[in-house]
Amino acid sequence: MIELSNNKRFFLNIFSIVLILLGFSMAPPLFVALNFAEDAAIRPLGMGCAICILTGITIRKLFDMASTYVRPRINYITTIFTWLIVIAITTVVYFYGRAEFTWIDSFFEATASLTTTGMGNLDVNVFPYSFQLWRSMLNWFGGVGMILIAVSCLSNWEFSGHSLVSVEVPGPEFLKSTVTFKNTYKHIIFIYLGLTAVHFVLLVIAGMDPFTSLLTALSNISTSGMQHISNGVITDLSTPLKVIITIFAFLGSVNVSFFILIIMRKFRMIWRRTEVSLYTWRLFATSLFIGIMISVVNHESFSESFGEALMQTVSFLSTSGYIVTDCHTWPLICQFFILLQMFFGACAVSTGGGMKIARVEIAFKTVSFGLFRHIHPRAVRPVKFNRDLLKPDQLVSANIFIILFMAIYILGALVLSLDNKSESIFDALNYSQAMLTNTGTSIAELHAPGLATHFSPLSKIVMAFEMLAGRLEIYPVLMLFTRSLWKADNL
Amino acid sequence: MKNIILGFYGFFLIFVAGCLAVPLLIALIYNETECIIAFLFAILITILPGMYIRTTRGVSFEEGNLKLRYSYLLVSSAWIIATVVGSLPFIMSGSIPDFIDALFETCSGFTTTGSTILSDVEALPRSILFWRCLTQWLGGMGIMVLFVALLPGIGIKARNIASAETPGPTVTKVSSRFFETARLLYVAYIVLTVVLIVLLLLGGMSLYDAVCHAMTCMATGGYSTYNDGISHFNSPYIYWILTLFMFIAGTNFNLFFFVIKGKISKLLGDDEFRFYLISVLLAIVLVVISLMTEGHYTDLFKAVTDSAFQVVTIVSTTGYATANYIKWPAFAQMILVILMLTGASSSSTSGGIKEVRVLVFIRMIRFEIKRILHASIVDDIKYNGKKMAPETLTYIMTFLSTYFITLLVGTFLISVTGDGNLVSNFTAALTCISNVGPGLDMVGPECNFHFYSGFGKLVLSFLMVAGRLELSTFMIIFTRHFWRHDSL
Repeated sequence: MIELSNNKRFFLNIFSIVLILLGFSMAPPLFVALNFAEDAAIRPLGMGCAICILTGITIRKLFDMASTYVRPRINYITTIFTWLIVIAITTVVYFYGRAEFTWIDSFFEATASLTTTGMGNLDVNVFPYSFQLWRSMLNWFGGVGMILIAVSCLSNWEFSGHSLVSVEVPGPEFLKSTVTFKNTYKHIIFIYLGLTAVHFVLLVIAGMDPFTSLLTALSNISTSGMQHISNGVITDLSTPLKVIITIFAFLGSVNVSFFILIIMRKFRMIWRRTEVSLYTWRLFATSLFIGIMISVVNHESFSESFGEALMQTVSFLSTSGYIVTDCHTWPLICQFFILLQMFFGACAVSTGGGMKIARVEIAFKTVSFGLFRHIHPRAVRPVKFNRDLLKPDQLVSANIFIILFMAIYILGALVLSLDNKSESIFDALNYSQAMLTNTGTSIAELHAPGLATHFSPLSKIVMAFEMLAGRLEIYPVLMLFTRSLWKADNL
Repeated sequence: MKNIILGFYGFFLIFVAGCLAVPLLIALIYNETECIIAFLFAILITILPGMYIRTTRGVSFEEGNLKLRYSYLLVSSAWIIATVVGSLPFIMSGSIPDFIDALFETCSGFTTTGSTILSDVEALPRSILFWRCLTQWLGGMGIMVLFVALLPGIGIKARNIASAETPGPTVTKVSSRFFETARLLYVAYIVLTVVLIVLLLLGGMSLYDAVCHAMTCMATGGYSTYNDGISHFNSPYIYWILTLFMFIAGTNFNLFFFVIKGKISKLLGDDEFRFYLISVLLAIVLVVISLMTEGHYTDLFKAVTDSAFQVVTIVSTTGYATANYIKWPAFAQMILVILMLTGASSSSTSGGIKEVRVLVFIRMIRFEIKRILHASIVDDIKYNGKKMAPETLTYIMTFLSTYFITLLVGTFLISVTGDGNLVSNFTAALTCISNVGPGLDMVGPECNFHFYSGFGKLVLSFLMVAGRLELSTFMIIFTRHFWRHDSL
């Protein structure tokens, strides 16, 4: 055993676990590759699997892992570097596994898979089975891994972190149900494993073939957008399948506290004081509006258009981005609604992306609070969220985040507008939005989501950064560009 | 209380009638009979109720009687009154027969936006065109600030009025009494306008054109008396003079007093001015590079002239037309859209978010990251060397959130009727809320806003006034808090 500082132990602990998990994620695809004799895939997957697991285990054997409390800074550093290393490893495997990929392509594909963004370099259908499976598994790991990070690592993360879970699930009870973080991890992993299993079984019962069902379940729970079914266009599926997919995309985008409250049998609290109820209301209101608009403009029956609108709204609000209906024929205003939904995104602490419902709600409240303050400059009026008081710095943080989100969106679009693929600034803005919200579907391509093939290397790198920024809620990625992160005394 | 408010309206109506007398003079000079009648009629409609109020109601001159919220109401309603009254000549002279169109045009004038619904400007009589430009000049520095400067002590705290109308989060006191500050601001404004008129005359413009363009340039409005805007003159001298003065109109007017007092170092040391200068120069360089590599430009001087003019005209939210930037590369267009968002300095005649807020926001992000990395850090966000109060920071954040939400809601509302497409509607809302003028695609510099429905035009007019009055001043009169309890 080699003695290390507390911070280093913490980092290595997390890092080695992730490495081992990544290694194991390559095992099932490896079997598939052996089974179907996909020669090109066997070597990179096998090597990757062996090296990751062995390195992980060696690190754990060599060093003493017991670490105590670490500063938030170390949490952030651990998060961003673990993500970057995992993306790097995935990039290497993609590069050697797919002959047509350049390094940049592989990097883009790896980032897209792990950040649950539904956009790729190629139609996933042409991938060998092993890589199709691996891609979906990476989606799943990226989605669920994000929840674990949000719940534990980044404890002072304003709205997606521990603070929000403990706000919604009152402190002591939450702790009683899960005494340690290790237990919380286990609970959450079991919740999502369970959901995926149920999803898989239901899909098989509804008549999908088992392999596709498995890919769909893995990719849908993580709100990635089911790239393996004709690049995310699922209009041809049967209605029961669509309904099942919609339900589970919704569940994937719901705050994890929803499930914890269900396990704790606190049903009333779910409707009284959580983000989930807000999310559901918003979902229904949006679908109702779109449904009415479509039925008026296209002269369809209301029930039918409402159903279509609901399914499509879930897809975009959860930032999955699959296409259920022919929404490119919708009136302009409905398309604008889709655009808004992508920005708003899913619940905090879920597998979805975007700004998050909680923050948007707080921004709206801030506006009304600001107007009130103009009328009564000296008045003291609390701002509440879910019937809990918001601290001033929470309020400011949520607003800063939203403006920052918009700023990154616009700056990303600025770089993307250099690309020949962006014919107008509209294209650039749309791609930037699709990447930053981890939806992957640009609003200009609602009929058939496009591929990243024709983008220049610069655009691909910027898009990868945007995806990562969207997934990690911006700050960790921005920190890479600050000096204080790179000082020697951090680890 | 009622006396003060009514007395205020009485004064204000007479004041607007006085403003209407100027284009009447022009109509007399050019002998435009229809317009003489139209202006006379508009003046009568305005002045009669004003006189009636003045004679029947006494006016109390106690300063500071009025609560803060009523100054918001007065400012907002004054803008609405000015817009409605100002649109009368357009309707009555038959230049813009439709009421909503005329309202949109006047609103765009007073708020210095410069968006138009007219496809043929040159067909209008000269006095009407002059009135169009004059509305921008009046709205530029703030019609209420002018009112306060001319009539101090009408029972309203001038400072409240000015802070409700002046762009930017801070109102600097140059003089100890506020109406004197307002006066000084207007003196600077008038002097600059006169200098610009002289310089334009030297460039070969006729007196009429020079006056009209000087007014719209200093107000960062962007109305022109020609269909093809500034490109009508086709003179690099005029382009560069206007570029310079639009830039000046976009700087904080309080800084001119430092310059007059000879403190140039203070001007260059001002955080906002430096940020403004650097961002404008950077934008010009980027656009020039983009135009030279991807655009159709071969002549470097022409590329620099066009990009400098367009960058400055957009960042100062003027919106003159020289080059049709819709045909520029997407990168250059994206830069212009970003500039539409930011706008120029506070306490200038420009609109938009304002550079100071952008600057403070960048500092807040840096601070936020530091705070996350080092939980127990003790540090302040500084602006011009002074620590910023937490309330100011909250105000800035609130403003930014309100701005983006209004922008999205505005885009949504004008899309409801199904006109235009997403780019046009988004940039139309953006250009109106930032008081720029032209947008992209269907509302580009060579197009106009005529195709929007009546409802769409009303929403856009609302956005213009809201944007001009820094959102909150105008929007609070629509909240329920405003009308609750001790109203009037």
